[in-house]
Amino acid sequence: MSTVVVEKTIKQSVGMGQICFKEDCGELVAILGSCIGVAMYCPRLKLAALGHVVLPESDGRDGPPGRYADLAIPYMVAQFKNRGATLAGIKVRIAGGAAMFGRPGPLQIGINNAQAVKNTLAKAGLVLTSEHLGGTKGRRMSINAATGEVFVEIVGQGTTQLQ
Amino acid sequence: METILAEARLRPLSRLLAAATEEAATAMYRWTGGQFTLSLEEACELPWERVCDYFDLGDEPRIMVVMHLESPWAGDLILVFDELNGRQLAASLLGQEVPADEPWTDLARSALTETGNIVGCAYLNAITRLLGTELVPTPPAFVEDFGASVLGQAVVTHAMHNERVFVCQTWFHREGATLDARLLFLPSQALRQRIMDAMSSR
Repeated sequence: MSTVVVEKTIKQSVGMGQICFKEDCGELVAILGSCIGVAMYCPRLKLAALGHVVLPESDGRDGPPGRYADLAIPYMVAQFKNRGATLAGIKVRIAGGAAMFGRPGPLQIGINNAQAVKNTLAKAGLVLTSEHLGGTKGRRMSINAATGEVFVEIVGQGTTQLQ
Repeated sequence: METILAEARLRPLSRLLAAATEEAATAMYRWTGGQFTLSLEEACELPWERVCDYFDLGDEPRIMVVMHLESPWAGDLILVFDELNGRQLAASLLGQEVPADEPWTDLARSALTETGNIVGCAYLNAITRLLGTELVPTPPAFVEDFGASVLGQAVVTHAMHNERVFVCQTWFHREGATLDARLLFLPSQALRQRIMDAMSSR
């Protein structure tokens, strides 16, 4: 299964473990629970990416880079650099990491995912512009390739724009 | 589809799940005064990344009742309704008109949660009896959220240890018509293996 999709259709869903790119126009959308949506945008290139990261660490496992925080972010950065972007020119926003159903216990994958994504972003030299993390509800995250606008919707709580 | 487990390997599982569905259907029939019933649609195994796309719950909010099975025989049971069918079921149980677009009342939530309890427990009771193994579900929880967020969460727990996930889908029917309402059952690898072992020794 290909994990990297570049299309110019209007709206494209980004499934679990996928990383999708759009240039100039259109919208990328991910439905998140404990997963983290990583939105990157280069205004100069009008290049948008959305990664749907499922787990914090690859731990040597095979698989598409979009599955794991430690592989997804370096991969996304490399794609931006290949197209001529600089680190300083990439705007990064993240959302998700919910503890769905509020289940207690030591295994809180949403929190672990969020921390792993933040650590990997810092390691890659990227500055996190804004975040919308935690809670116990799912999120719909979207990024517009023409404008770079990122929206996060939570059922019953409305929609928020991430700056 | 090449990603779905061969039917022959699934046969023991399907036999057991058909029995569980029948028991749940009987419970649903009684609970709703003969209006609603259930039928097993499919039981398949596929890579975990594909589960949400394959069972396509859309990107609109859904009404769900969720039960989780505790270790060692873990798993998830999710009743998923679109808004209209969820409201119609709750209204029929309460003997009320289907309300307009307004927040769910405590009573309507309770009616749907109890439906999850009755159907889910009937389903799990059948599996328990056939396996001779006690399954311990959490109390049913009413959830108003994106379907893919909830199903994705169930999938993530499998993704930590396995590449593939087994999912059983059962549809709800009312007076012969199939509704946008279903029961999804995702047993853990350990529970699935337990079912396979028990059924193949019969």
